[in-house]
Amino acid sequence: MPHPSQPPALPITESQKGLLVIDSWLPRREIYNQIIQLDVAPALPFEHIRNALAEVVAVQPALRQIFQLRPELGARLADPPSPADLPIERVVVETAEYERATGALVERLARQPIELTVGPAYRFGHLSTRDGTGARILLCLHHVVCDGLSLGPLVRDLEAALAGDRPRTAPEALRTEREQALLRELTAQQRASAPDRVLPLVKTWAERLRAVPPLVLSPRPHRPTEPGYRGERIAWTLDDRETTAFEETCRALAVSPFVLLTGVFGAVVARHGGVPTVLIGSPFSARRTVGAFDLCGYFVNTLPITVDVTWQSTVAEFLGTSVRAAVDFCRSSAHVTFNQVVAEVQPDRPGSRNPLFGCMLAMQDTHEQATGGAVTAVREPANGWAKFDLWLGATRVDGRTWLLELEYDTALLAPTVAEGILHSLRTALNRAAEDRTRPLADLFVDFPPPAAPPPAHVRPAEHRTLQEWVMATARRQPGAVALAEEGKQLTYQELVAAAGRVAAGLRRSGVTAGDVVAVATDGLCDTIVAVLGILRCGAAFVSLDPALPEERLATMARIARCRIVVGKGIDVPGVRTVDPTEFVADGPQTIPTDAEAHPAYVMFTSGSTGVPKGVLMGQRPLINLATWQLDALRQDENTRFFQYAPMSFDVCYQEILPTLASGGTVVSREPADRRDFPALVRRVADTRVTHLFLPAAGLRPFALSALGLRASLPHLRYVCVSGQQLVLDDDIRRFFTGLTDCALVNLYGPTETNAVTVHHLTGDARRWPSHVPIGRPMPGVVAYVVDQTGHLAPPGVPGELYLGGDCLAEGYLNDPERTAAAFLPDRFAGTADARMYRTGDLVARDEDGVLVYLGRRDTQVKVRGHRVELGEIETVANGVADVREAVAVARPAGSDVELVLFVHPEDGRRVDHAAVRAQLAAALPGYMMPAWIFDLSYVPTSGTGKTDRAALAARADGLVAQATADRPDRVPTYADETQRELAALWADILEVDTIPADVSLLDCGAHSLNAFVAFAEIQHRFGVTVDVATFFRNPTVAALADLVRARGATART
Amino acid sequence: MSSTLADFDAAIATYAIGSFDDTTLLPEAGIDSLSLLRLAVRFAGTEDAEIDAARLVEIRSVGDLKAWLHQLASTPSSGGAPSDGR
Repeated sequence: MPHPSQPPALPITESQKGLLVIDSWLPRREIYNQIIQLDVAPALPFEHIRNALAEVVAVQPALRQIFQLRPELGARLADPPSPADLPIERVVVETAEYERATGALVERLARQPIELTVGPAYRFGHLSTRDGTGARILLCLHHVVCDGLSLGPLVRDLEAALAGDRPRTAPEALRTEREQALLRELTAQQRASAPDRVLPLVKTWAERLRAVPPLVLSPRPHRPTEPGYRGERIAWTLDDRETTAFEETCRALAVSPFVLLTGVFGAVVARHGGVPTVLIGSPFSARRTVGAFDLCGYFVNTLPITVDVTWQSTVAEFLGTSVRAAVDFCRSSAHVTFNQVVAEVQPDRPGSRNPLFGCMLAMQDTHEQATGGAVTAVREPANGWAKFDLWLGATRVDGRTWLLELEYDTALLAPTVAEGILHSLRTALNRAAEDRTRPLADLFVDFPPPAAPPPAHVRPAEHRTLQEWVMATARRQPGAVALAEEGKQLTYQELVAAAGRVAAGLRRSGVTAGDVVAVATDGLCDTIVAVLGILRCGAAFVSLDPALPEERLATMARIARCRIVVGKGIDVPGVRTVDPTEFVADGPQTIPTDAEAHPAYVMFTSGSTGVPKGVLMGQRPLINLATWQLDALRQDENTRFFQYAPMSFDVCYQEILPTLASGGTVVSREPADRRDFPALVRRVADTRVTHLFLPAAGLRPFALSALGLRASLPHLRYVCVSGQQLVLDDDIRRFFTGLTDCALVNLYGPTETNAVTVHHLTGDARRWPSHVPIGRPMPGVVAYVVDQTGHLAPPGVPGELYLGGDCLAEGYLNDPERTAAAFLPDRFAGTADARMYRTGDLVARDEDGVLVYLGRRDTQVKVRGHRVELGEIETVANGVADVREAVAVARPAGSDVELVLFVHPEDGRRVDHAAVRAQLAAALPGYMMPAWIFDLSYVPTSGTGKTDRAALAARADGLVAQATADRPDRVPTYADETQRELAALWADILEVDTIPADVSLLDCGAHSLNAFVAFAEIQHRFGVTVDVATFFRNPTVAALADLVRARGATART
Repeated sequence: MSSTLADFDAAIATYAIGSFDDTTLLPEAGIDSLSLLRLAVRFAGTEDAEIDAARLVEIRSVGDLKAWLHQLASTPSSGGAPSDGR
């Protein structure tokens, strides 16, 4: 019977609309091409197969859908194709080539885009061996016309057509019947998901979804914001024992395999993402009419299952109660469409990726092939594209066991990170089955940390104590210059003699081994003489800066139980000040026999209660650090180490003592002021410094000054930095490119351990990363990354850094309580008396085992649910013309926080804020855009040279308050007609009166779905296609107008 | 079509693992949501019969299942729905 020439319009489901939107935004049209591989009886002739496939298309109307995007999303049905017109590629190969040829054919079919608005939404392949021993049919269908449950109807129809046992007129009748069934199903679905029926449910659901923290797998600075879409799969098949345990667990907890896998996968994702709650997407069948179970089609709603992971709850409670309830909720809400949820949640992650979740679980157990038909096996091979950050497919194998496949986006996850996830999955699944009463955290085990590199190049420590080491140098090269100040220098012989006089004087004053003696001297020579004299007594030194408030000095002296200060200008009751020039009598050149048992220094760090903590550092970790340093920084008698750090900052140790141990010269910073970078550069150049150690915040000003002065620094071999995250920009790279043979060394270590990890940057500076890792632990140091389950983290998993081995301070001076809280028994060491220090710093190991700093555990900046590394914003802003230094801070704004960027201009220049905004918008996602930009005449720093963000945050509050008061209510103005028209178009869609050109459309209610409508309209009116990802990086009318004009110009040329 | 409780038991047995009675919970009997749908399609009175997802979630035991199948077989619309995860 002929069909009418104008095919009837067909409603499409909301899920189809959602998929069309996502599909249209992807950078490639072929990502949703699905491949189904069917092994068929080899004897069937090709013609027969082609006729049968044509019949399948005829009786499965969904395959014949041709879609339209405007004026509204919809579809029509094409007429059935004649067998001759069927798009089918035929391949005949030798048996030996069969599998390889299958892969190649899958690739060819999957890689070609399917044009949904033109049709058809399918193409086929037929592969057979020349000797007639094997034959395969490959179906390549766009996902928008088929789902997992479609496999059964497709295979049944194909087998019926191949068997040829239907009456000749039957396909015609079946076609009509199926078209009616499709219409009935679509109507039923639309009725079930009618807004008035689902809206209350969606609203409460959306509220809960908004509370779920963002999930970032393998967090790291400069992680791509857009996926790469290339997918890799890794797999694990449960063995017999594992399968039995899996099924037994399901039965014992009365949960389905789906619930068990959702729970375990959810816990794995939570562990690896470092969050307590995750959303796992999964397709839920939305078929409503019984007749639809014979239809192929996209009848699923992909919904987010909220998996709440309470690490202390038992496996049984978690799976049997919490996860089961979450899955049941989605099952009973399967009529709610993904679009409805997205529209209500309005997630701030638009763009081409799924706006709600990055992880997906798909049960691939929908089809169990019956025996006896022409189709002997059914498979769904990967198409090479990753549709999610991470996808878990669970396939029933031979009706017996399970194949678990992880597919990951290779741009977002490294292979070792994905392997770590699979390792966690396998461990967790097995351990869940092993003991259902264990806490969730114990589903996981410690991931073995990377082996330390062989310590072959590290020489053994030459001496037990620092003072012995320095005295040995003095005996070896008495006339060499140990200390160089402007206009004054001390040879090793003079240094040791002077230190001996100080020691003798101190002993006469009653100082004994184990005491703490303060230093408040001027000038490098006097200071080092005092320090060595104190050490010679077996006492520890502590620096007291006369500039500090009296009360603070008194507190420090009290905590340190310090009775004597060498130097001047300190007036603290109970503390006697002695002038080092008074020490004129020589004393014995000896040190206490048990000197290595006595600590070397006390450094104060700020405590959260306002009372400083005195870190008491022993000799052994310092000897370990010096031993590493002499090798790693190639220190010897030619070393000239610049002494920049204040004596109250532990870096001073690395500048001074290893240099004196190696026979080199410590060079005084003075007369250059610590913050006068041009003067510092000149001093470094004039004194032929070889080693320089700066606070990380000082590197850029130093580099800029050196570049500005065109300073020649041919002697400089090592620039070390520490103190905060090292962020490199092109200026710093340019500085190092101009130096020959100078390495940049990034060190990390809290005062409680001194430096413990290190990352060397050498070679072509232009290739150095902007966010420099903190590197690997030094020999003798153990770095533990402890994730939220309390276990050692696999690569890519954020965790808190704990430090063990030969680096720990004795503790906080005279403060056993705080010492016990921070210095814990090292449960990973395997020995009873080992200790470790809890840093409070969040880190992750990258795929190579290198530690990457992620932020402070307690002060991580989170903006609109996104984790933000302030340094990333600063790096981009530093690249803008006339910016000397940019500092970003976060300040509270309503229930969220907003970002404020301070820019410190180059001397005599003004920073163009619009240029800063433009550059930030081009490089960073919208949530990283600062709400405010202010000029800064200087960057405030703390006493140790770190950027004082607290001071800037306080300043931001005042500046924002003032700016808000000054800002008049604005009537939007537009630069041109394009802006005006786009603003009107958006105002129409968002149902608002006006939209200013420079306001984020997201703040006005734009999201991925209504943006789709807007873009279709823009395509219609302006004839240009706007790139979605680009738009969402700076979603304003002004930026959109620029894009439209740029595209228009390209289209015309 | 008129189906008896014995028909239901026989059909359920083709999806179940091991023995069961009316009090057996579905996961214990190895019956997943997909099996429920297959049973529904088998016993539904008409092609137009609709399956309501919310209802399906409430079916916990073999007894619940039989009651639901009975209802589905005798009236042209009711039921429950989804195969999860597909």
